Amino acid sequence: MIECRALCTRVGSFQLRDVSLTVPAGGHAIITGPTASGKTTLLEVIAGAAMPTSGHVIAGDVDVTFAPPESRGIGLVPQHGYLFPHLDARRNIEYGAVGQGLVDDLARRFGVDHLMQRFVSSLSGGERQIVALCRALAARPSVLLLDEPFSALDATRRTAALTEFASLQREWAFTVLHVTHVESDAILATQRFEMNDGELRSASTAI
Amino acid sequence: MRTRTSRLTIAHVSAWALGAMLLLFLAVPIILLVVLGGAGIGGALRDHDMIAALETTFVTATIATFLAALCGSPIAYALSRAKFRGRALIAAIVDLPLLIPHPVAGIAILLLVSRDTAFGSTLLDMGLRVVGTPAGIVAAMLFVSAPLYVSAAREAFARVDRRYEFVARTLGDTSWSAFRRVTFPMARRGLASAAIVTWARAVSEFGAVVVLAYNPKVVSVLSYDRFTTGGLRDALPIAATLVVVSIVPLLALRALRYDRSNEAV
Repeated sequence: MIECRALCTRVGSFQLRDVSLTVPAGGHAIITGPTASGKTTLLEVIAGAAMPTSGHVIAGDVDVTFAPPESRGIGLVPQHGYLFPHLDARRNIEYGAVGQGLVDDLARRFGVDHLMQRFVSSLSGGERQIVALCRALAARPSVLLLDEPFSALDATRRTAALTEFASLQREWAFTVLHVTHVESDAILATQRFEMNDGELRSASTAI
Repeated sequence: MRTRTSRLTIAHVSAWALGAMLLLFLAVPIILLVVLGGAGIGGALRDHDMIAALETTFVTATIATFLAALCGSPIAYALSRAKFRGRALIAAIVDLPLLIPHPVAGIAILLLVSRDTAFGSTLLDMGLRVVGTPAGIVAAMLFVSAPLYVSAAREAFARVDRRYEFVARTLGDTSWSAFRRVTFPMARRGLASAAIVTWARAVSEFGAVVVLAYNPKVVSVLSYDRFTTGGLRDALPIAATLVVVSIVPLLALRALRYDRSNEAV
């Protein structure tokens, strides 16, 4: 479960104002909204990259508002992957992995097992995103934050990745907060939120 | 239209000519030195004083570079990452040695370590004599070259997007292990370049070194010594050898930069 209670922060002149949301354990919430509406900032505050000026972040039953990122149990797939360029794909996925078998299993399930020896610079944008997703999943977080994780994938690979991701989420029952611009990603959603100008303007429960 | 094109051409030619004049002014004396003194390099390398000076120069420059990297890296990292009160003051202190003449830097260090000061007498009590020893040479080299290391290392750290560190922390790393596993390896070429520039600067230092330790002689002091006692003819082989020795690390630096510029990330 992930919960934000009246979360506020300021980044330069931008303000995140009074954001409250709750995603129950195993839920998959989609956040949509225009560019610069605060979606990425919200994920950064939840993950611990930015501190809130007020409000709370609750992961499971624990208040992690001021906990360091490594002890929150919250994984992140950033918008551009941010794969470590000095490591090959395998060592990227292994970086925080809880087991070697998991690395190979994830790579096979997401169809990147043939790329494991390749360095980041030789991967396409879509391949980087899938490797970044595998890297975050291999750490087995209880909450996973996704920031446009499939934006560089073509339609076919996107559908395959979404299907595999949905299957994995059912198996592992982790909680997902997913920022996207793509309407078809909503197929995974159990909840839907919309951000605008630093505020969570509307929320609805899907299906 | 024609007049405008002519003006542009004149501007281009003038700019190139001015740039070429500066390049020639920088390169020709060095080329002359190597060409005219090059024949004497072999002899200089058989000269016992020269061999001793080279050994002293390399050892002290390497120690100074190691100390600059060891103590300068945390400062460079903090300046590139953290926002804190006094940051501008620390940056100014680090840049200070670049702004003062090097003999003045030597005098300043001499004031600190002379036996008349509490610090200097404490060092002497501990058996560490600075003036006229390799320790003094290291101190002088460190003072004038450490700012170059901090500046270049700061730039190297700043080039590593801090989001890489943050991603590493979401994967379970502490801030230290994220630095060790991500930031440092990603900045290592820049840090190596910084160390090479620092070493080359230390090797070529004269002004501060000569104030603190005329003896044992480093190569720059030896070339000055030969110039004052034997004139240009005696100084030339020593000076040419120093230039060749300085060129090697610069070529290594160029190779590293070339390597980096060809590396797609």
